[in-house]
Amino acid sequence: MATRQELSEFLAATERRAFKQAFYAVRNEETALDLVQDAMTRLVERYADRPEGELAPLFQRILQNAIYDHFRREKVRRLWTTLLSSFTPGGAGDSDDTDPLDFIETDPGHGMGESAGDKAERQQVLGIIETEISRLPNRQREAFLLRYWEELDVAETAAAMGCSEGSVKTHCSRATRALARALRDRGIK
Amino acid sequence: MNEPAIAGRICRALDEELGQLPERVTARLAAAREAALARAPAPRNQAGARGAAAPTPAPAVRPAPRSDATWLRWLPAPVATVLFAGCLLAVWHWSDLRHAQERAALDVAILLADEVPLAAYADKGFGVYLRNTHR
Repeated sequence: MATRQELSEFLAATERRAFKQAFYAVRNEETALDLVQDAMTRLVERYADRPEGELAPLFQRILQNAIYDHFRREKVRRLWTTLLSSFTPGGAGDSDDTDPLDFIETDPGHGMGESAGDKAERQQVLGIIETEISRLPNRQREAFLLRYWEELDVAETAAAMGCSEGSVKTHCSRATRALARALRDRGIK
Repeated sequence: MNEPAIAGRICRALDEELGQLPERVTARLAAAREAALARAPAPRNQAGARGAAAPTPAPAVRPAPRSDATWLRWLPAPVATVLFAGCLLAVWHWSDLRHAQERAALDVAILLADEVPLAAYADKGFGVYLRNTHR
């Protein structure tokens, strides 16, 4: 049974990766932060009595569900917006396209021993990796991040994604191949 | 292609990027964590401390399973379904009745008036019926 301290440590260790996962999916900083907060609250409210070892797959499942719920709500909202915008002259354009490259801080104030050129190149590579991850199909990205970044095993990833272990392996393999190909095409080895 | 190795390299790069999250994001995440922890059901550490002193199991601090509440939560769904079906039936019945009345009125107004044999007008009851319907 997880104590408050354990819960706090678990969330502190997970929150940044959770934020990035949500951000790759929704591509909006505020929305991603809201989703992570919702997931944290649900975990604490409903599953605080679970053993510490179960928290990671549970939290991932909650977060993924929150992301799906967000997309469902967006779909409904978009439907109504489309319907209503046909009555207004000009209509409303989508302005949610946040470029992940813009998200990286330009001057974080660390990495002092690094030359400006190296730093810029590293930032560029990171930006490219993030962009390519954002471009992956949702399920592939989810499987890849859960399996390799969150280091869940195949069974835990399958439980978090609500699919079979075979699907997890397939998604992971396709995601890795797609990423490797995309990075090679952009000159990153 | 060595899949885990490639994935590992990508994930290391992602980990590196985590350290560069803007201050506003890390602050917001910390605030979100604190807000979530503030909603924890009950302090478990006190129960644990009592349990260490006395080996008898501590009384359950967290609220009892809300089986009744979950049952009640689903109650409105069938009630709403029945109400909705009732409304549909009422509308269908009302619409059917109205169509029947319209058809009857049409029969009286056109068909019956056109094809009534002359002898019918000699009938006293038919005269009363016509007077009543045209009033």
